[in-house]
Amino acid sequence: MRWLKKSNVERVDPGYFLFVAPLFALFVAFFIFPALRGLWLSFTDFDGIKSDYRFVGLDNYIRIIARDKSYWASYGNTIIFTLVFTLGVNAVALTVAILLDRGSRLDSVSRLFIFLPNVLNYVVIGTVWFFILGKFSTYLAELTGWGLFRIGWISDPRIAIYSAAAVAIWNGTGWFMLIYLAALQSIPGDVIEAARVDGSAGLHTFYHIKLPFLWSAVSVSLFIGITRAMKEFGLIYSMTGGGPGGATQTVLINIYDSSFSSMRYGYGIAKSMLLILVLLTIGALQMKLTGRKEIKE
Amino acid sequence: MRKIRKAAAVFAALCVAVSMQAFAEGKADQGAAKGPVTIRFIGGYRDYVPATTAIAADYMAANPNVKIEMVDAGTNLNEFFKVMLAGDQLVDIAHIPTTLVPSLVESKKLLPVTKRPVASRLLPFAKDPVTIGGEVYSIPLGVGAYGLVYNEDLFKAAGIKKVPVTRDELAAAAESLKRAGIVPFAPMLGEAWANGQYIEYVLAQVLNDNPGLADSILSGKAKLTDPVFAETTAYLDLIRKHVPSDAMNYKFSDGAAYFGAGKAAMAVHGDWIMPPALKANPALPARIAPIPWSNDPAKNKLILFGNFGFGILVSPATAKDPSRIAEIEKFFDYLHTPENIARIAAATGGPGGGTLAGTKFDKLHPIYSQPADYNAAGKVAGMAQFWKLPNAKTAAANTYVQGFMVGSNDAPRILSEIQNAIDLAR
Repeated sequence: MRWLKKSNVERVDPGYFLFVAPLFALFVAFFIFPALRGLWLSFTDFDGIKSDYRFVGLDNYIRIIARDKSYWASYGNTIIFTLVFTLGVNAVALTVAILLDRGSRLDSVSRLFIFLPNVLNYVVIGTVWFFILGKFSTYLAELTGWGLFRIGWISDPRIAIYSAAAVAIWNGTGWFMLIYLAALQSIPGDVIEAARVDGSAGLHTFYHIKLPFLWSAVSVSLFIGITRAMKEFGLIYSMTGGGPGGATQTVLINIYDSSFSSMRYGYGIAKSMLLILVLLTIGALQMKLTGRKEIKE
Repeated sequence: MRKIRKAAAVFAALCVAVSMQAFAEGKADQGAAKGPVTIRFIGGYRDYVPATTAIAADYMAANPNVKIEMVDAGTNLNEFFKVMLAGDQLVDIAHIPTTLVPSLVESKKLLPVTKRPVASRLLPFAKDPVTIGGEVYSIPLGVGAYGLVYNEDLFKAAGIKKVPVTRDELAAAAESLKRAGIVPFAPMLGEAWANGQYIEYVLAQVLNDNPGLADSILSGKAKLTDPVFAETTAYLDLIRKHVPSDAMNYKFSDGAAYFGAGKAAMAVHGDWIMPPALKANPALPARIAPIPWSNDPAKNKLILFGNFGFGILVSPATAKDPSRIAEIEKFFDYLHTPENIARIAAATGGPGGGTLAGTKFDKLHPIYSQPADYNAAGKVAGMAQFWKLPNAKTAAANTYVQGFMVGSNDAPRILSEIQNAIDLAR
């Protein structure tokens, strides 16, 4: 609490508060207040409409923890999706970034095409891929007879979650590629040059010279990848609706069903609160683990 | 610095002045209760709007003291309601989603329309789901029928001479169609809600046949896993065996078009399958019959229910000035005259008119006149008992029936998971 010492406070220009106040007011109005309001509603039986909802104490939380199997099952799908997406998108994006870091004339065009899926709306992507992996695949199977097109990409419960993750990787590669490309281009040229003079080349240069400089980008990208995957909703929902038979029901889709389909807002918000706790824990662990690898300046 | 302060002071003074003016104007509006009345009106769901807008225009022409402001609710009425409630922006008259009626009544946001002339013309299956404590809270404008929609020509081509009335006959018909190279059931498993309805409309019939059963489930005395429900999943198994293997690739509208194009002989669904099906073939020889889910023909009924209906809401203006209600009710009555209900029916191309369910429709597809025949024969049932159960049942039905259809869970799990959802929500 040293920062609260009178001598420290006196040093702050009053103008500081004047400039910070509007943003702080917006932050309180649109983030802190709704979050606290949500926390309160998670202890009620609010159904989204009735105004005289009741305080039910920890009932919602107890039901979720002790009896709601579908909620905990949806974590399994979320973990699979998160792992496949995070590892996949980082591997693909890093590879693409390395390939595009060679200074070819085609690089800017390639970057544009690789980034393009990232600007598309998730619902558009989900709908288009539902068609491609669904009816279009069936049509191609009839046309070519190839077994590849006979696979139930979105109708087989064992495969659907991987299909959704693959589409998310296709969609997200451009964004992650930019992070890696920026990191690659910020590596000091003299370090690379010195390594080259010392006889380093190819993979050796990448592992021993470039990769240590990239850990910061890897750490950020892994963190963004995990949070993005955990937050993924629109793409999966528009592609599979959480089906078939709940095979792609992630935690967010489960919360959506509880809140909007089942009209149990209080219960759904309680699920959200538990998800926040899980996300905070994962975030803290991840920062701790990858933070060690970053280059200290 | 001084100039900046001065400019900021002038700007702040202007803001205050504008706010005060706006506030004063608001007060002036609220105070003018005796002047022209503005009725804010959500003119319906999707294709209802052109007809209701025309009706509102006619009413304004005949009543210069009333201004009807049409409010666009977009395509998701449920969501729009939540936005209106959150912002205390309820309109005066709106299409009310049936599932929201109990909460709106409990919150005293929806007024009874029991005494409106149109309420006395409602048939029970349209009235019951929107009746709470003996009061009717909305007037369904359309009648939905859920059953076995079939293609007469394809039945004939497969040598099926009689519409199946039992599950065994349905199985025999499906086999005959397969032998004739015709797909028995249209694929439409891509959307979970379309799957859930396979079981929901059958569960509704079991609840209808067993008075008090829905209340017993609500109180925990009965379960969906009890033997009385055992027959409900047997016909799901039958459908599963006879839909194309790639049925998950088809959303509802795709499946409807598939049926409309004559690629499948049957679709267990509501008559709302018809608009997309008729697009594929305007002369589609389709008819509807009760779902033969049971081997006891007496149990198999055509499910009828009133679609979303109009209701009178307690808007902020009405809360401040209840005298407005009389004017709102006058327009509400005008909206529901038989002539105007017929106008809406004609404009939407659907059956229209919960009050006109006994009517034959000369200008519409014959399938829309069939409910009248089944109603006369006592072969119809409603959904009121089913809708007593918490909404959570529907999400569970959607997920687990779809899982069953693609082979990721077995039939008993469907009922036990729906029961779990009800238990969690009780």
